[in-house]
Amino acid sequence: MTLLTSKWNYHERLESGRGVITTWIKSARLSKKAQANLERTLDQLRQLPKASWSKPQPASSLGHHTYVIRFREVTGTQLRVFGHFFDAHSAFVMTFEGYEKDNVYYPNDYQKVAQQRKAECDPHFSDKTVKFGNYCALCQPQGGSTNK
Amino acid sequence: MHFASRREAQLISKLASPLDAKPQWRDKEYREAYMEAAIDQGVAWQIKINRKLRNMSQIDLGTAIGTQQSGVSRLEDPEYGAHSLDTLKQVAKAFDCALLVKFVSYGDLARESENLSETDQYAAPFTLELEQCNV
Repeated sequence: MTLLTSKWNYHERLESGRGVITTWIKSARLSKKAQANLERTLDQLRQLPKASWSKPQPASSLGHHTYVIRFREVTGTQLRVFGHFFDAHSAFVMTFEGYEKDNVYYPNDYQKVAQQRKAECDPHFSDKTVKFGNYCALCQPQGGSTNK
Repeated sequence: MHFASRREAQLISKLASPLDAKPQWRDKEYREAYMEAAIDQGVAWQIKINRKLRNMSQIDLGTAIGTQQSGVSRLEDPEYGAHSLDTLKQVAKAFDCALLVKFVSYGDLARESENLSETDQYAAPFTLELEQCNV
């Protein structure tokens, strides 16, 4: 990590002015248990170097700068959040959600989507992403990136 | 709630400051879910990390605690959620480290959530601690 913080910050991609992961959590009505699972998972991962984002940790590199974060719904559904690191902001950018079944990720074209999202977000990080929850030490409490 | 003194109230207020970063915990059901996730995920990851750092296979650990490799695999599954104290005591003995079980405030849990690096998760075996004492 290169900036002031020793922990990763979390951002999410903006779509129509809203964070896509926050919107998904609400629209999919994730249970509180699943949300808490995600929060604990993020707490764990933000303290690990990028190289440690692999099993047994709940995240893995999928190649081409794409990473997946794993957590579960109470029903057992294997929920997934895809994204990439944006080192200039010491951030992991969560760009879209999916799930895994029988060792197959959905959406099937996750790699293509991840590349597109990365290409959208990285050149305009402060406009295309927003901090996720309280997980960004570099952003204002109520706003987006301080890079604005 | 009545505090014994203003100082005690100030102390508790100060101790609870990590909760500022956890606004969702104001919901009782949510914070209880987080607590359970912290136990389930934390125990599973600690077992796996400590086993690997000791260069033990799942079979090695299974042999040490009297179970099969599949049983250890289950213990290392963050979603297992059924670790018994007896089993954890056996794992601690196999790792030659201590097991600390204590009730804590949610403020303490929030503080703990800031210390989850692999170094934080590692519990050195007693023999290694002794070697360091003797240096």
